[in-house]
Amino acid sequence: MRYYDSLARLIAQFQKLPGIGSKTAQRLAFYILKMPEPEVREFAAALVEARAKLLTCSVCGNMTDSDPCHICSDPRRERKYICVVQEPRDVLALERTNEYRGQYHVLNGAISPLDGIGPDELNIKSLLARIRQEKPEEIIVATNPNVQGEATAMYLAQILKPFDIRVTRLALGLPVGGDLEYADEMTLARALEGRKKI
Amino acid sequence: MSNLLLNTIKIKGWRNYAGENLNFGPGINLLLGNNGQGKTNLLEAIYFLSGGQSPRTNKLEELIKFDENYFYIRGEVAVGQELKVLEMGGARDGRRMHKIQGVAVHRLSDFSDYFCAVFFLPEDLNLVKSGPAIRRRFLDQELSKINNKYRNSIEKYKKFLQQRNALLKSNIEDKILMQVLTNKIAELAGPISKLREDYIEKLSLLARLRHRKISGGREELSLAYKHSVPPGAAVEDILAMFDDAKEAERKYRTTIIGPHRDDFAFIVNGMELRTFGSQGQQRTAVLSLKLAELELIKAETGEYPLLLLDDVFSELDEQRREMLLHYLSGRIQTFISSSEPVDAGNEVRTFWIEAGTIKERV
Repeated sequence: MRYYDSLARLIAQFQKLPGIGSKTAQRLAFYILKMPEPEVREFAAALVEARAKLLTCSVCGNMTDSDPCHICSDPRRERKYICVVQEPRDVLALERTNEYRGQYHVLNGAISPLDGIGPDELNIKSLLARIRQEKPEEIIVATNPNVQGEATAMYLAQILKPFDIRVTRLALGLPVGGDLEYADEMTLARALEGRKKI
Repeated sequence: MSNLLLNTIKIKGWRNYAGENLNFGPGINLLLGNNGQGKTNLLEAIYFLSGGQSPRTNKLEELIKFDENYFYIRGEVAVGQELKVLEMGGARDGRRMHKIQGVAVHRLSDFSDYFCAVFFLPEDLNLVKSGPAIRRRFLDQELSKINNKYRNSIEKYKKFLQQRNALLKSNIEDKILMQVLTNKIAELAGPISKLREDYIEKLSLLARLRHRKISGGREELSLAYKHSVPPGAAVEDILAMFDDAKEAERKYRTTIIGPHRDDFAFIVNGMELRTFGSQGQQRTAVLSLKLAELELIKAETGEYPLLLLDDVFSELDEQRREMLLHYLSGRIQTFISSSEPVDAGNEVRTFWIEAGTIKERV
């Protein structure tokens, strides 16, 4: 069946989002139509406002609504560590651990010549400038454990050599709370490689 | 002696079969029928049970009968005293079902722990006749089956190689990035070459013994590994090779050193078969290679896998046929398809295949 035009347009908008297919888009659209009008207005306003206030932190490259971002401007956070991640959502993931109290640097991608992404396309120059200025003790590379992430990590290790600074990479291994027998061989092999004395 | 046996198979909606139930014998099972009746399709179904893959296609849809929406294969497999029921199914929408003893399994490689088969198709002659790509694919497939470390390394190698080739073709000028990717390739290349060398050496030894028997002692077969990077070479040495190849790489804009340039040759009595062998010699060499594979699997797992011979038996001369049967008898459950009658001794079970129906001849 055909929907009236503005409903069809709403469904099409939802379908643009990642992970949303035609059926889910339809469901979301109908849900919105059933919401009370003030709530719909607030929903729409939230979208527009978030976009309007979006800034890129001039220090770390993270998404923020104030420059520098709340992490870079927080005096309680340690200056000794900079954790390099690929995407803003990786910052959120690390923040959820409540373990890390240092700084971040967001590359906004990973090296992949196959997709036309070289080092110049990433937020690497500002990282070097930052290291020169802030003189941190350690760079923690937290890129993804795939080929692009690994290439990026090795690239960073290479260009950071002249700085004479500790460069580490996140450990690879077993997921916490899982069963050993369900881990794939590659993960298990890496976990064995990175075993620790207890 | 414990060897692997496929006692029964049930197929539904597979290729040109609506539904068939068959009991097989422990020795030689002969599948007779005219062309286009479904002999290869039955062999393919048997092979499919060993790991959910077909050498003929990657598309699930092609395996499903044109007027059905899904296929189903159920095999009863005996290993010594143990009986296992293996089931596989696939639907047009891409969903698959794999069960061992009624329990769903997620990793197809688990099937090869219970059921393993070596398939010899007429197009396998290309292993001798065609270019090196098909031989590299053979190495990668077979080695990946028996060595997880190899499988991981070669997958990773191919991904890094793609990135490096893309960099060579792109206008990204970055020496450090190039060095990083070259280092990674060099790191992976040595161990891959080493594993390939070991595998080819073992295969060569076993194939020579088989080939000697089948050819009545007239032919000495060996496999010669032609490696791009010396097996197990140190990373620094491989990097030095890359240094020397800089000019050529810039010219061709692709990576010209590494296991992706490897090959191996079939050599009979000192001559390379690809250029000097007759059709019959080439076919016998591939057969010997397949039998060597059989022996290697036996060495790895303790049991002989099944042997599936599609339309190749009739192409061998009388003497080679007899030698092959002698080797197989009482040892390996074998399925032979042929369009003409084959004299394969007395212990044979014969099936007649016509337009997607199968009847045992008694």
